[in-house]
Amino acid sequence: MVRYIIGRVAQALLVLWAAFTVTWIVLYELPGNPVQLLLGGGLGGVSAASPAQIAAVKKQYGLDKPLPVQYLHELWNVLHLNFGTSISQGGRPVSNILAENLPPTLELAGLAVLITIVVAVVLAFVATFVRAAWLRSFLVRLPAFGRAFPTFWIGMLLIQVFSFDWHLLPATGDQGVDSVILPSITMSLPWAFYLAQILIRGMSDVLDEPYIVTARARGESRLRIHVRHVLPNAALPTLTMLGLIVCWTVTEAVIAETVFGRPGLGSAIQQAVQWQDIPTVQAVVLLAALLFVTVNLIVDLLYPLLDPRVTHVPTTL
Amino acid sequence: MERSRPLKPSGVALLLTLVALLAAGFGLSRSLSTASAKSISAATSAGTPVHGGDLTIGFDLNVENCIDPNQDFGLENRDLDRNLVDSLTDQDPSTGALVPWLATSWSSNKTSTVFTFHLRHGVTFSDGEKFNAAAVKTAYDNVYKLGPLSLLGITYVAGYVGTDVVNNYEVKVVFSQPNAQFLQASATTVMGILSPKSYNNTPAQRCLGQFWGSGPFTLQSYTPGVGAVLLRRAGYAWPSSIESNQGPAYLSEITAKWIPEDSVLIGSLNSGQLNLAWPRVALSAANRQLIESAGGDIFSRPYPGITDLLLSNQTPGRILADPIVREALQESINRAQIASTVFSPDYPVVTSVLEDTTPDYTDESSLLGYDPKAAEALLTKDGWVPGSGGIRVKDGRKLTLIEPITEPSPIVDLLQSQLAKVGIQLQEDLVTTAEEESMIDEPGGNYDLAETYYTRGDPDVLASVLDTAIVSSAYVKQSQTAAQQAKLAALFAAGNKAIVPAQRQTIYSEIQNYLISQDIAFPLDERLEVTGVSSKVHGLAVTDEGLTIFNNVWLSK
Repeated sequence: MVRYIIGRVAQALLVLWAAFTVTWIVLYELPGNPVQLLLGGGLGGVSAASPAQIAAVKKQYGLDKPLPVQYLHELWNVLHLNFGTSISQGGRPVSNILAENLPPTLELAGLAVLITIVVAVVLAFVATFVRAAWLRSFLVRLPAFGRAFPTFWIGMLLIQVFSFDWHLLPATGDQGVDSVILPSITMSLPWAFYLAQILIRGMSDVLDEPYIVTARARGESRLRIHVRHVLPNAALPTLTMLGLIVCWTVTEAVIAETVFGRPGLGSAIQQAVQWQDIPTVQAVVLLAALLFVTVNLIVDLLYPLLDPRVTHVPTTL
Repeated sequence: MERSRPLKPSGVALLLTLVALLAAGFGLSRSLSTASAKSISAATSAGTPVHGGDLTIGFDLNVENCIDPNQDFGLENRDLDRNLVDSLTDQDPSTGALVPWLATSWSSNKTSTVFTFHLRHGVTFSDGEKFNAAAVKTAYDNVYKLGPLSLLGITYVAGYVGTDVVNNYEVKVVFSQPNAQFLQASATTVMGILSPKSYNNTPAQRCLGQFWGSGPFTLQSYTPGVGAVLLRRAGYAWPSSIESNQGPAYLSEITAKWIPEDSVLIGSLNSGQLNLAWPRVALSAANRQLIESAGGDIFSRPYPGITDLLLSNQTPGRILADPIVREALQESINRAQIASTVFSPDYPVVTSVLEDTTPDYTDESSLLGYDPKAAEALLTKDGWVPGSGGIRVKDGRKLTLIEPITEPSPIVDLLQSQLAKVGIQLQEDLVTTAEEESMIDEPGGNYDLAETYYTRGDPDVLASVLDTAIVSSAYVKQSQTAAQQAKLAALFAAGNKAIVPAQRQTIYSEIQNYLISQDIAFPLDERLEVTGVSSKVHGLAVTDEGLTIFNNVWLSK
């Protein structure tokens, strides 16, 4: 078990390092000149900075050093949780930007994951439990249909109905608890359907297992079999997917926060990419990677508890 | 302002509703083109102003992460800035004339190098500091110090020597070269006076809102591209001399939100979640109809300044270095179609590089006619013959023009189809702001056409964007040959020396004519401020530059 944990943690660290490095290379390879943007060139502006001003700003951000030096320097800083200063927000510490934008996104993503789980479980449960063939067939196909809709479209539809037509919830902003409902539903629906698909498949498979027949033979009720045997056994692969879904919420937040005009990491990274704000993009990507490895680590560590057979796998590695 | 009644579909016939909708859609009887700068009467202003209330305004475009009035250039942030800071002068939107604000009177010498301002007494900044000559000096010195960080300030205070404090309430602003446009500049938000303490903060800190002005509102919070909250300042008593409300603001709070999705912006207004919807580009006829049928009003007024136009890249070797292709391009643009299709049938057609509400505007529409046949003849004579897919070819090179854009634009889409008719391929490159910058900046530029416009109530706005003697941006330099650069710089210098109005008019007319006849600039459309206003909003008025004066605004219950 200890070896299993050490192995998983080492893997997680490797993923973090790789995420940092790949982002760094991609960002520095991008065409564009963030320094010029910072100094107000471009089409928005009318005047370009002098070479001396450009050199001074480059020096300030350490962009005048050779690339390997810059890379090691930044890696060292990040290891010390120093994410540098934002280019597009005029020298503001990136850690401030993260601190400001993380809470609204966590709130949004947390609720979205919760909705994803509830919708997926309820849908899968009902779809595999009902006896009416037509209803069962409809519910089993529903997730594939639901998954096909793009997130932004769902968001705009929800806004139109719940906010503009029925005046129940606000369309934009982050004031009050009710402002988080529509964006979190928007973010969760595609993944809820995705998760439901996997869960339906898993539950259908479990229903064919001999131990279900045994349970039935012992006279257990259908509901009891579904709750006690089918759902727990089918949930295991879903747990892995859930780990991934938690991470995808960062991507979904970009869309949801833009459509619903909310502050958060999604809109922060959207702005940062637009202005090639390398330190901010880097920090958000790293944060997303951290979320990714942490959630997956938790899932990996939960697995042996839920299924003792898993612990044997790493010892053969 | 005329308003169409909300449509109530009765059960009788859906057809009737449809007919009514169509009729309303086509019969936009209130002509936008007649909405002149002289009529800024807003939604309604009848009734007794109600005190209190939180007004919410929605913007769609965010071009900068900065709300410091001295530094920012985007209309949305300037709209908020206008209510946070005051300027020495104000520009009367009905005449374009300068009127007193923080300065009670002013004068300039004959060569337009020294400007004397007599200042108002009893004005304070929201941080408690007093407004006086020293504060003006600190502010102007710092605008100059910003250099290129203040994209507009750099041209407004070109040749700045300094500000002399004559006494506590009199300053002399001195320039090393004639600067006739400076008086109008003193009315802009860029030259807004911040409290001296504000300048202890770095420009970056000021960008994020760490500054204090003397305006009717104070900045409570600002999150770039997301929102801002402004609070009423009690005791405000020094608005511009032409404002209807000379006391503190009626509204207690203003909330600004950036809502990039067009449909969400309009829907939020119609469902009562916004009081004002102010998109950067004029509302389309369809959106105006939606707003009006939901009971809202349309506020419309032309912006002064540079029209929406394209600048060519004349770097040797690029296609548009060839004057004949540029001439053909100018003739291939159907401006009437852009106005009527992208905007609405009653939308004005562009007639110059300046909006017709800008002082010294001249009508150049005779040079902006649509003549695809003549364009085709020119191209054929120049050796560009039709090739595969209808795109013209010369010596194996396709007639493809690259225009970088940062968001999809129906104007560019339409232009693409117009140019295709004469065999010119317009390639829209949808890129991020950073990528656009690199396309412009690489040696010679990897583009052929770049869009620009700017809002300002002075013809010298053309210098802010096109005078290579001051402006060093790559896309500006590449838009002119060396000879054109010299010619324009000389004209702009002459413009800044001219203080006799007739003389000024002659010079700026020549500049407008030169930019179009040399095919340096390709005007596409007039820019109108077309804002959606909820029926609760009263007393809406704007400055000459189209920025909202919230001090006059009140909300009915």
